Amino acid sequence: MVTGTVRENDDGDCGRRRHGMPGLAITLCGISLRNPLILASGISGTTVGALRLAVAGGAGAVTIKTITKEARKGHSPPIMAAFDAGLLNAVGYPNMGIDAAEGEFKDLTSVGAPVIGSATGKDAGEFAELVSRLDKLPFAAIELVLSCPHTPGFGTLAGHSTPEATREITAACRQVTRKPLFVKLSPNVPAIGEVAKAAQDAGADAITAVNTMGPGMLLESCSGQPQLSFGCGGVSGPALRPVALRCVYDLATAVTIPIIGTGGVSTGEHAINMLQVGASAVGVGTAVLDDINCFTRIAQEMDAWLTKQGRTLSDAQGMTLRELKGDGP
Amino acid sequence: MNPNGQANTGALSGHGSGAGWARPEHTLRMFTITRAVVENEQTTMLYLTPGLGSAPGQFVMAWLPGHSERPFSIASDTAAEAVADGETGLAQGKFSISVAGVGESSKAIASLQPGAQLGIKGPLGKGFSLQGRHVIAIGGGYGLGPMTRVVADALAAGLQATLIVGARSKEFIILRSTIDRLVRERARVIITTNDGSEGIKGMVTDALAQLIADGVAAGGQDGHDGQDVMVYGCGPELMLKAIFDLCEQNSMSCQLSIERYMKCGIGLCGSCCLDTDGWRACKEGPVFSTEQLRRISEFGKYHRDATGQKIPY
Repeated sequence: MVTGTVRENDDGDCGRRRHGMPGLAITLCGISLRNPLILASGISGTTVGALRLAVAGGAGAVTIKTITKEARKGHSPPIMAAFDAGLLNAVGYPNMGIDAAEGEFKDLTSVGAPVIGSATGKDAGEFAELVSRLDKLPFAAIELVLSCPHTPGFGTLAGHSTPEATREITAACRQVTRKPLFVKLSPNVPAIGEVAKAAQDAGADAITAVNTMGPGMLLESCSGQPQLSFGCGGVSGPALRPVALRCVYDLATAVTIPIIGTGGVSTGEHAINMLQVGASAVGVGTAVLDDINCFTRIAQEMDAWLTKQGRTLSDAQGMTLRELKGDGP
Repeated sequence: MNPNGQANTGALSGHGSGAGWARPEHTLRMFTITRAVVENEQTTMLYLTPGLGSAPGQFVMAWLPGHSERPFSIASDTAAEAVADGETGLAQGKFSISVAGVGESSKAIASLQPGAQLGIKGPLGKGFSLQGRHVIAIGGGYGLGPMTRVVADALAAGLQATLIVGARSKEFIILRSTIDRLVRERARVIITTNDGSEGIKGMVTDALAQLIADGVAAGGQDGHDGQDVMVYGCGPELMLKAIFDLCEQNSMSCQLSIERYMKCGIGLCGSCCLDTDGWRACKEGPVFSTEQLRRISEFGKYHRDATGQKIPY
């Protein structure tokens, strides 16, 4: 379990380390981040307060919980099931809907870090309508989620994960905003590079990879009932990490736009690995289960790793790709 | 409970826990119901084994397969090594939840009989921590359970303890045998009912105000001042807000358990985040201190529904 989390009232040295790790600052699509760690969409992020909590916990940027056109209650609980290799979830996009979201997120100055808006819709027209409204809110970027594996009418269950649908939805949204546009992809596709290329061709500024995998299933043995009310759910956490790492690796050679490597990251070494296979920033989600302050710890671990290795963040980024190119697979 | 209100989760021994990455309290485990006591037309106490090793104020997510998962506060919890009330005889200890049969899934859970299995995640959240020399614990309705635990712990630690019980009328007072036991153990118990059918006619804050006026809370027979009093509360939010305001006016510290719509219970879904700082009722809470309550702008004003939209109190 986690140790070494810095507290607010720790001594001056820790204060410096918490807020002053200049070696970790990055610029992503013109957005300045104090560190590359981004709260992934779907984990908390429901309110301005929720975003503040993640920033207090060390996040370099935060993503809001995905907004849909209508308010949604989501799936009935149980919506999450932890197991020995990760977490299964089928939350079902509960959110206040775009009307209420315009009020909730109208002022983001108190958050203290860049905020990424997140939207999902049933088709390209609904995506574009949502993005045109999110565009008027003070978000630093907007993320399109094309990849939820457990909500009928959305994501992979609506066929949004194909290159064709990705191109259509991204192009429609590109027309209604000049803000950086991120596209969040599913790992559950035969060739993630093809999907990412479609997003890039249609005007995406970055790729977030990946959403949860599966869906998977867990049972309560005595009753034989699934542990989630929806029956199945997306797999995240440790089990997802090697899959996410491979996806980012594939994407690094498929597209030229930045990649936000997301999936199972819970230590500094995991985050560095994401950068090594070509990510520019790192999403963190399920690790929050352990501690909302995990961002601070992961950043410190990244800083310590770089110091020990005598490397900079940009040395580490793409290291795997350069090594493989040099030696020849 | 230990000084910071965190439970000793090392004592957990539930069935079906996942090894490895997931913490036991985040993982579904099946517990066996040993006893079901109908307290009144509204509330049933369910006793389950083994015990959880929880702190007062912590809660569980309870799930009957095929129904919705729901949060319940832990009304009692006897660890395997400390069987206090002698009524169990269970080597592994037991814990209890008070189930108000309001919704579909609560009704199904409330109707369970001994021998049945119930899925539990927990203990979850941050509980009450014992502070001060005089404990005043205030429980409204089914919020009484955790308060009886605070009083029992206070007595065991040699502190002065007062329990204020609030109910609509006398038939809605739960946990009679527990209250009687605390009286025998020298707790002062004050009962208030809205209709005056038992004890003081009025609100729990009337009883608290009277204690303050009597000087019990500030410079009582022990000669201690308000700094030595800690007020604990669990129950409806407007009751808690009235307690908080009274404490603020009299420079008394409190710890109150705030109830919010909880969906996952393990800190990930964001349903129970409180304005202004986004503290999660299920992780940083449900128990908050005076200093924290001052920063919770929505306290006593609004809560949020399952979609996250604000509902005024």
